[in-house]
Amino acid sequence: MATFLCVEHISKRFGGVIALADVSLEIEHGQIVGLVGENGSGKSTLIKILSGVYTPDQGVIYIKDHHYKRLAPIQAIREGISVIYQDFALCPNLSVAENIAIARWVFSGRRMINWRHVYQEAEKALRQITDQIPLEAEVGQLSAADRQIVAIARALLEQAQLIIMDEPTTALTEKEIASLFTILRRLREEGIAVLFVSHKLHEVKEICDRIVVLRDGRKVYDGAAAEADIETLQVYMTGRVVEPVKLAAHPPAGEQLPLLRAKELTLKPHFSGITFELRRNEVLGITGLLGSGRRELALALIGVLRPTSGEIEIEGRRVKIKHIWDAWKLGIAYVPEDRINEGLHLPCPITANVILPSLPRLSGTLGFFNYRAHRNLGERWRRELGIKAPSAETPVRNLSGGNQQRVVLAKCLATEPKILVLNSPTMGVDVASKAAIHRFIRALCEKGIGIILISDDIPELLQTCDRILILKRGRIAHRLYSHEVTETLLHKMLMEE
Amino acid sequence: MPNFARRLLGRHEVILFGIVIVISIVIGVFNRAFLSLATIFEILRGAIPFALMGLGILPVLLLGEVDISFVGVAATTSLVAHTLLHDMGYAGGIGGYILIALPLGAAIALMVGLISGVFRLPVFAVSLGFWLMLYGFNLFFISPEMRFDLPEGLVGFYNHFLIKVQDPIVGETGLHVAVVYVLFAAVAIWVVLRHTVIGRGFYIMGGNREVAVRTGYNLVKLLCVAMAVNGALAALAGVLQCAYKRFFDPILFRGAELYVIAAVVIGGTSITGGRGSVIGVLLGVIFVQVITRGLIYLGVEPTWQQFVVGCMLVIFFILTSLRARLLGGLSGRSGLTRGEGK
Amino acid sequence: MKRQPKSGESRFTFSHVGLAILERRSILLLGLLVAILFAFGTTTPRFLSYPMFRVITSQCAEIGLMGLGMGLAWMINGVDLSVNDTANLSALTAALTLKHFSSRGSVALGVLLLSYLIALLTGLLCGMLNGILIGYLDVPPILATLGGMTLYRGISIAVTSGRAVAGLPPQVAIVGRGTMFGVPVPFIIFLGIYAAMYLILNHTTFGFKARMVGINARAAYFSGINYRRVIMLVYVVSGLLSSLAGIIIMGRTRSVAYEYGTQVYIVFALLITNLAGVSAGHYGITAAVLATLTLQVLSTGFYSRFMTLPGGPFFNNFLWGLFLVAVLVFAQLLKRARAKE
Repeated sequence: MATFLCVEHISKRFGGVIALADVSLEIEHGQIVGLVGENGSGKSTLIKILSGVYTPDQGVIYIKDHHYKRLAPIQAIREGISVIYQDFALCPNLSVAENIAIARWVFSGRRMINWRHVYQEAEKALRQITDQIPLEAEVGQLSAADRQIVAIARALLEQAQLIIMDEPTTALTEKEIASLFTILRRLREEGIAVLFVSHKLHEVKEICDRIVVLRDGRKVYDGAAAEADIETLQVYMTGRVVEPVKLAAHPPAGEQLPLLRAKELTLKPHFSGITFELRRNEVLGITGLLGSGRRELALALIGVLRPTSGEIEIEGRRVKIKHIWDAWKLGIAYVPEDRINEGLHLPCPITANVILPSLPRLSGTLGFFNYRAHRNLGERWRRELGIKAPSAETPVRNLSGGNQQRVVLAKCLATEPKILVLNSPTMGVDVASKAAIHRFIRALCEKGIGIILISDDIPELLQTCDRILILKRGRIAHRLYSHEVTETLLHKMLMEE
Repeated sequence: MPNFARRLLGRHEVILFGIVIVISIVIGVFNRAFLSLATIFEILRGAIPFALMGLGILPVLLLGEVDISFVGVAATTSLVAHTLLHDMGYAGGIGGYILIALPLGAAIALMVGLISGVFRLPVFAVSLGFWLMLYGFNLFFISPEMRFDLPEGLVGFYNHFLIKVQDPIVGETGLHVAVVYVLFAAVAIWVVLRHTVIGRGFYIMGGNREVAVRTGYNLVKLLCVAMAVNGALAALAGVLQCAYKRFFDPILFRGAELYVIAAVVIGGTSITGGRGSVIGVLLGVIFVQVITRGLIYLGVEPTWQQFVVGCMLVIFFILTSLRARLLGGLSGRSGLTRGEGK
Repeated sequence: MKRQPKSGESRFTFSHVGLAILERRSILLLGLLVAILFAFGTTTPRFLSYPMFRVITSQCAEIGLMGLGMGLAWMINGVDLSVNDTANLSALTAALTLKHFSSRGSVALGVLLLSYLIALLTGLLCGMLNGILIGYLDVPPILATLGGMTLYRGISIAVTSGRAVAGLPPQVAIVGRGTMFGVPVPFIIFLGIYAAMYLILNHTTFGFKARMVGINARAAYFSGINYRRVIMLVYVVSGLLSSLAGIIIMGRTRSVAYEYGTQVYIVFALLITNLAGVSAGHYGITAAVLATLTLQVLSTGFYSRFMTLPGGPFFNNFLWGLFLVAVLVFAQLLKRARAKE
């Protein structure tokens, strides 16, 4: 097949940091290319260069027969390159039809809008993909999957030859991912190329024809998807063979009182009849696909959501967790999944972040409190967790993802919790930090903290958890001891209907 | 089409219209005189300036900005137009006033838009400054007193009715000719917002700023257009009101900005941008008029008007917030920003 | 990575809280204050005199208290437009209490204190309504306080039928016009509030929480901070400060009117906030106080210059409006220059 796009020897640096070094890439018509790499590997820089947002320092971009030293965003669109960002870039307050067709209408330079034409065009583009979404529906009311389809339809209408999808499956359930893949295969038949940017290797392997791996701004692998196995890709991505943390012998299920007991927790439609126990010195993994209720269950344990029925007991005592501050008071600490928006105050120093959940303990009489008196606390945690920063007064914004996650952990540990609930703690963290966090979780559990780990990362679950619960459609489908299962088996159990 | 019917009934405008009807009937039960053609015309007449100003701030609110300088613009433009025309010995009708006031209003408001757009300041703060500046300007530089010296052509404007009715209580009254201006403005704004590329830009910018910029819209340009429209319509409202009241007032509409914003917000316009309609604005204005006029018919002192409008607003906030919470579940934890755009 | 609104601009000063008095903005304002004093001192006869000092210090408290309240709201990404109308309504409830209990134009000390208590209670309730709307019902702050402002002014108009309440007993003037050791009482109150606010913001958990909520309310929530209550308390404090301003206004003018200071005082409060450089999570109280003094000196200076003109106060309004726009633009340019640095 003919080559649609070809970039040669692209380099880009920001200040002293090399984001991309001498990367070459070719995409043919009707080819689905997977672009994988860890955070900071240069994936997003490459996307931005291809869509004309950044100008490369060196290198040339060929699109069909044109060649560009620098590509303007408008040229990229005219050449048929369309990017679908993670947030889909849609207007929630407008109809599906308008979201699909309006940009093209504006680009055409017209001043008036012919709604009949807008609807016709939108319909034509949307019906290529699906019959399910009504054109006049408001986009804000649609599910994430439907919004993504709207974004794809918009790209089709703009006569995209290459659709770049940035982490397209993050917000989708397994079923929705399957139908997205069907759509992508249909696009491939029509000769449209797709650049599928993701860090989920099994998805990339399933859908892509070719896989390109970036690491530290360099292309380290480029080959047919059929020839690459996931372990090899992992090594290319991380640059090393990661030693899995050896799980310590399973702690005896003693007669001691469970640390936490959940009885018949129900919050419809998210989950129902959830019963489990968490013991001291134990890491309990809770997993399930997106939409299985694992996220909601985690939020219910810490009082963000309120179960409509069921009980929670801590050390044999029935407790009511109505708000998240009740959870903190009862000794349940929480590591949120969205580190940037929910976990940290980016402009604030490490100390301020660390002491925030411990405020009730630190406050003196009448709520008096002296920030400076607690600076040693920040310093202590900085050293204890090995956070790489000149001092505890460094703003968290200046830290790397892994170090930021350590600050979040320090926040929790500073409250001396009995139970630690971790929601996807290693998402977007580099491999070294990931391993360190896993080791750390194990060490904490040795110290007697009960840990609940919510994750969809199968190796992570197997490496760190003693027991694993698998949720399906809001119910516990499997209860496993992690030494009894293998990765493939767990993956199969997760995926089966 | 039960689905269509349900969607129609779920619309804010339809609910509001129903409430207006119910309230009117309730007031009518207590005082029969309220349900007469004369009252309806009276309410429509009272709604004219508010409807014009409400239509004017609609595009601004769609962008997610709040303006309050428009009342000052109305006062200044009408007073300046009058002073200029009076000095020239103008004896004509409303036309000359509109000819001067409209462009002037657009220009002043454009200045507010330009300053906030170029320096990326919230329109609200800048417009507060202009509000004070414009009234200060009127009182100091033009005239601290009301001016009753109307030109001949304008004297008869107040009882220029399209339809005349004889009412046992009010006497001769009717549908005032200025309603035509409102209709014209409403249709024009509707066409712009619904059928032009720039009009859709307000909604797109209010919905998702990034999309708007990527599509090729320019925030400063849109803001300037919105403010110019706002200023022009406010100027029109000012001139019509003065002509009707038969005097030009340096503190015209001072304090009325609260009523206009209340009406527009009750009409379903979101001040965080992207939501609002012409019909909603008109209904919101009628709603506030019915309430404030209705109070008089119920024998309540006019000094209670503002209190009642304040209560209405607060009740409206509580109801919409509860409705959003019921519909949106527990996930929505908004309200964390100042609410002056994104 | 989504950028948090406003968080990019906030300068965090936890690490040198003790030196906050010597913060850059305060030095700038102090310089400005001295320059303005010098300018008026050389051009206006008897400007740098004790009577003038008394005028300035006794008048700055009202705008300063409202400004401090506004700044607090601004710090948590909010705004409180109802400060002035809260002040007037509070003063009104106090005045009505006094009228009710006074005999032959004089009241007992107990009644006076009771009336102040009622005024503060009114301010607390006004602030609480704002706080509930913003913190618990997620109404955008501009809209919520605009609604509150309409309501509070509406109550004042309805209760007084739009007339001013005058002829208050002479005892109220102690707070408005009295002096202690030559220093006007309002100024002493203002300095007391300054000290209290300084303590609250920098040395209490509430202050710390409020700043963290201002920077990222969502993250504060997940750290177990009841951010809705923090938001409400902030508006309650703002309401209390406004009612204190109302008490002082009532004492100084010995009357209460629903339209006293309408709009001009909001502009002053916004000016103080912007001059002091308040931003999300960052609030230099010292800078706010210096900004208040600067504004009051300017105001008194203008007043003494333009009062001789016919319609002088109107010209003042014109100038204040212009000044607000200029300060907004200037502050923005300053911020940009600093971001480039």
